[in-house]
Amino acid sequence: MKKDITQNVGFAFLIMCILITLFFLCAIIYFIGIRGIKVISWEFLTQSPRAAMTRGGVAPAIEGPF
Amino acid sequence: MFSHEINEMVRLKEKIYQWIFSILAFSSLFFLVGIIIVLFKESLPLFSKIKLSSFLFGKSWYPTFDPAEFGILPLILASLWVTFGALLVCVPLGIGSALYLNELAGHKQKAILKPLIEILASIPSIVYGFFGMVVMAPFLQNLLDLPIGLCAFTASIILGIMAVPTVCSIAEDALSYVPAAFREASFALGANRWQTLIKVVIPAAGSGISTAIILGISRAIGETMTVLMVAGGAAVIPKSFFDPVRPMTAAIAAEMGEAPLGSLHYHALFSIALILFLVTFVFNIIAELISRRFRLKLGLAG
Repeated sequence: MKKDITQNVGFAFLIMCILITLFFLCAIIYFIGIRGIKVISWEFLTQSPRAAMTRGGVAPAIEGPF
Repeated sequence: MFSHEINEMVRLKEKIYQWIFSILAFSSLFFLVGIIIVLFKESLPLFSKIKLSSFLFGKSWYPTFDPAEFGILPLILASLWVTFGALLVCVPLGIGSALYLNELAGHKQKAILKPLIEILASIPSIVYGFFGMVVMAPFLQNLLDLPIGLCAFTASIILGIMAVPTVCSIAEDALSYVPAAFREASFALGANRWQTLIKVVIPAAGSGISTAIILGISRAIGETMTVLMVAGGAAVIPKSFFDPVRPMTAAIAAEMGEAPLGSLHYHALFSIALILFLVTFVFNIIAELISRRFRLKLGLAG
């Protein structure tokens, strides 16, 4: 029946909407989280930058907001 | 006699709480008034030198040239383009997700999905900007073969995603207020679920959904960090969606640090802020009026 087809198309659209939203959420978490976590270590969090900001860590920047 | 003393104490306590909370409530009003006064005080000196019409409709924004030109039409257009683009992203995604949560998701699914969508609201805007700059812009540049990835189009997508949780959670609330009797009546007349959703549930929640959209707009138009990083920053009148643009918020954020205190440029930035404030203020009032009507319509006003 025609109205059932409309219903299926409509529901498929809604599912697509939520999937796209979740996709972006996962993409952001993946790119920021997974790539970021690789370089985070105790040295990174607790040391000051060295060698013109190319070595060392970000401790002063973390202390900043407090 | 003893109980009388306790009563006295309770009453005193209540009075103290009342005082504390009314002071807190009035303090926010106080800050609002303070902000408005500062905005007007700092922006009005500009208009003794520059006509309002040439400020609003001037086509060139060259604040540091000699002679400087303060026409904010490119900035206004940039804000409109980016906000409109964000709307095209956040309205289908936000409303669609809200409808899915309300209509198709079971209790368990809803309990997982709703917090997940709200995580999107808790991500700091700088992270969105970073994501847009590092991931989205190069990706779109390659995909669509653009001269530059940092443009109104990329900014619209990122802003749209940022506004999705706002739109979704308010729309979902509005949908959940629709009385079950409305659906049942529609089913009893032989409508299927989709027809009920489109013809009964959405109109019944219509004002709540429009409130959601308007609040999404004011979120998108006021967003600063993301557009500063992603929109490209060229203060020229945008010709297409793929041009770099400089929305009003980004102009203020980028130039405030460099504008000499009390100069025309400084006052011009405050004038932009004033316009931005008035725009979001109007949007919020519209949203408030609509949601009030919506409560009346469903008989929730009490």
